[in-house]
Amino acid sequence: MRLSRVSLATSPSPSRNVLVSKLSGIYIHIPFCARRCNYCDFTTWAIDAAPEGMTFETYTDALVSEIELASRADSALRTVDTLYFGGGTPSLLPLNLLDRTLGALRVNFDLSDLAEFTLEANPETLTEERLSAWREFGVTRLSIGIQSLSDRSLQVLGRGYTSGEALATLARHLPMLSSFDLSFDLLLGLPWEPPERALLEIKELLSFRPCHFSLYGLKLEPSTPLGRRAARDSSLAVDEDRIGDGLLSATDFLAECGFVRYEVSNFAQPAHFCRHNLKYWRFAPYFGFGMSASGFDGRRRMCNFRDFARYGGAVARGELPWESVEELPEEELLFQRLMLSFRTVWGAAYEEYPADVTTGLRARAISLAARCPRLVRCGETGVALTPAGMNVMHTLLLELAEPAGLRSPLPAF
Amino acid sequence: MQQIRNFCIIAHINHGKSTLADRILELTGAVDPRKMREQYLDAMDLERERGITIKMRAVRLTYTGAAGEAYGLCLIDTPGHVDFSYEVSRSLKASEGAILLVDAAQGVEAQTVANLNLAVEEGLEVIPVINKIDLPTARVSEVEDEIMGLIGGTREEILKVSAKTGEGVKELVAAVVKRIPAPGGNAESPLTALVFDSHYNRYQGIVAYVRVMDGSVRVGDRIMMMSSGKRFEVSEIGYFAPELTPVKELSAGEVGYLIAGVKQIGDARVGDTITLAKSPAGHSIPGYREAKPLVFCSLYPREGQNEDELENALSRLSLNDSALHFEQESSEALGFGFRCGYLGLLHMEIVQERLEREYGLEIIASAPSVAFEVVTTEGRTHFIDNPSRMPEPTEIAEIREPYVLGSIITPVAHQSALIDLCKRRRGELSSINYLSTTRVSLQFLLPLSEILYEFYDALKTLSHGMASFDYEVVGYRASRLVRVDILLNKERVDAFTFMAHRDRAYDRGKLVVEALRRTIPRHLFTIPIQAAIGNKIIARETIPALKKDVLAKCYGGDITRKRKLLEKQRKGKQRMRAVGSVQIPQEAFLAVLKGGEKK
Repeated sequence: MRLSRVSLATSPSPSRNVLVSKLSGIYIHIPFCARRCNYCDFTTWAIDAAPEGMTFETYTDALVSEIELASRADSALRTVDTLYFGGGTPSLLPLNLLDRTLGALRVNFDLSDLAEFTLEANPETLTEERLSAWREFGVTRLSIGIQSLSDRSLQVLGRGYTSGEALATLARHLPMLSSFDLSFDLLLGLPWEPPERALLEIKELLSFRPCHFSLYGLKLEPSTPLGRRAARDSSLAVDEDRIGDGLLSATDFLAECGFVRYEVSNFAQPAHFCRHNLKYWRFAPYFGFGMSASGFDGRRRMCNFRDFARYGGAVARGELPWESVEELPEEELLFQRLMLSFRTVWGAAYEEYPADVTTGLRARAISLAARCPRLVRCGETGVALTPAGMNVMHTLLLELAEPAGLRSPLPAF
Repeated sequence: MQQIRNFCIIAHINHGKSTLADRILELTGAVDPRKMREQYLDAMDLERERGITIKMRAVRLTYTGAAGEAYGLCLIDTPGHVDFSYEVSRSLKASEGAILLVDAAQGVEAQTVANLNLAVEEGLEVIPVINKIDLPTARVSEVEDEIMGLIGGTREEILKVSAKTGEGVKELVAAVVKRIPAPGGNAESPLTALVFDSHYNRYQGIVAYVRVMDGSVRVGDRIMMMSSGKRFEVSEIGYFAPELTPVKELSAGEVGYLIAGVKQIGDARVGDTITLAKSPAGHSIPGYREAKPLVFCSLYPREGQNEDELENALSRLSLNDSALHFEQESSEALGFGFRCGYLGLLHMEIVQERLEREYGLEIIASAPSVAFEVVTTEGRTHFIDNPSRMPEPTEIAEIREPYVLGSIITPVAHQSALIDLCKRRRGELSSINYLSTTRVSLQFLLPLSEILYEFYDALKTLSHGMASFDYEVVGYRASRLVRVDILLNKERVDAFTFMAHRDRAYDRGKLVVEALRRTIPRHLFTIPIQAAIGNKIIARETIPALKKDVLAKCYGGDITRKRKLLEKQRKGKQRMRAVGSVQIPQEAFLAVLKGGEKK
């Protein structure tokens, strides 16, 4: 089965004209980094500080076991068209272990229609050897975590490289890099940087011909070194308004360069939307393998153990390493579908909801669009948010979803 | 046959009433030691948490005198806070004597005097007692002087106890028996029983707390409420021991409870007299002055809740709290709700907390206000307890507001700071009396509205906790007041309207709009907030439109974080009230008050 090409005009209309494959995606979490960044609270460890017994080898063993268990558990979803290695720093995964993992995937899943294979990489990990091996393994897309091109920011964030080093590495490997679809991650609205900084960095990075950007606002987590510093030093406080403004000016700037803001934080040339991430927003099924990874099978959301002993212990016993599995009631499924679709430029298509829900949704959408034309756009077949609307999606969603019969009954958070 | 002694304990707040009650309960074996807990008589969670008594309690104790004679003692524990003094006056009606409890370190304080005056008016035998004599800071002989200055008598007549250690409590109980007279009344006369309190029981209806003055009452008797003539059959009577303990008969002089299938709150009003239907008494017992509400605020159900439930809960509460008044009203901004009258701010706070805790209701309360007398240009006088109902300035000839005579007792060292405080609150010093060389009593005439908020806190701060305060309303006086309206998004929000003195209206308007800007969350659109006197805008602030609330990062398809954040936001929205297109949190209603009271 071939994926229908994602097609969309650069000026999006609020309808369901993007065809997302209903095949499964696979996310694989690699919880190792060279060092821990000051703002990071993900499930990851510096290699030399990993929990006892957790090495690349033992972790890969556990991953392979999980892959086998999962394929046995759900045969209906075994045809996979996107693969995504995230982390952590998956580019650190030794090539032989990456090969082993891929081998396990090929044996246990049908990858013959694989359309996209993304690997997250940090700039300082890029080497000739790795790049050529990745290409050989079938990696089609590299998501490079630059985060910033300001030495001051890189230092505050604890990234472990200077902007000069990062740019030199990219330049050195440019011929090789150009055989992948390139995406760059940048942090927006860093409180110590001038607001226009992010646009300059985007401009600089455009020379490496990326087809995708992910622009995130820094989020200060209280458990991180930067979060603790910010608690004492108000000059480090994140200003959500600035992040909002930064997203809007990036939207405008990137639009001129042919990039669409197709999701709250994601910008791409129309042929290069991240198909794997689209599965999250468009309600397609995906597997999550590895510690703390999340999966969705259309009805249930699962989340793996975040602790190596429990994760490894479960797979060793032949059990799926799920810390939680939540069967979503119909109402919650509808609510989440709505919540996720409003993150995208395509918005919600009425035909995806039951008639009674659509009636209320349509009425509220029309009234909201009349009140806030800057934020909401209504079409015949659906409703979508403008870039400014995406920024305040939570508030808009609560207006659109309630009291739609979409009030989620979810009790236990 | 037991001899009866009915007595209560009166004191300033925190002078140790509830602890003394605990010791007396233990001494007389009324409570199983295994079930003993602190503040035994304070049954409400709220009372234990705050360490105060809100409701009075009655408990029947058995005591054997030195010569082996048996006594039935009825102890009534009372609240100390000024807001609840009506509860005190009710318990005094049911008693022949009172223990006047004074803290050995604090000495005589404002409510010591106020409660003592109530007891003297009722003609009760007063036993002065100094408590907390175990404290290192106790100054027993000075406090003796202060007490003798109040009630005369000798040092020897003043008992010294430590309710904490139990020292002197035995002697105190002996003195109660010896000095407080047995109740009068004749068991053979027609029944008269005073209803001095009540509570509602879901299964049995109203449980009336009664003091039998004359005659006696038994299970099965047909009784008549003297105010209405309605008749009921007694299904249960008993003592508070301290749990409800049924007995066969209550007769003259005894305090207990009575259940007669009364379901309607209006049919067993506090202050009513119960008699027997077949041989009614000739006249009822003089009731008490009804407690008059002084502070008013409106209660509204939260978004999506029903006002019927709120009305039900208010009816139930008012049965147990006769000082709570309420009537239905409707606000342009908030829809149907209830205008409630309270005795003071603590009373208001307690009622709101009980509605939320005991009835599971979520409510929005408007800023409190006093009641004004307004004389119109046509010469009519209106009583207005809601500032938003105030006529237009051109129709008003005069506005009068309630004044209180406030009494402050303080160490001399803090005298001048407290005089300054009262002057800032538009107070006029009316007298100064020195209780001793170190303590002084100050009397001020103050607008009631000026002591509503943070006055008490300011008083405590300025005096390092040493000053005490009590007040009584003395009447209305003309004041130069203006109505200040608040407009949100150009629409007047009647629940925010407040009255202010003309000289301070600008400052208060400014502080209130600032406070609202801080408490109202940002919306999808810009919200102007204005304060206005009539058509004139006196202050303005703007809440900028929301720019970003979305969570950006996707953690490998983990949407749970986003879902949680959204759920939190949704819950927050539920706790607000929509006024037009603006969502207003409860704190904003308080901000009107707080903002206006900062200097």
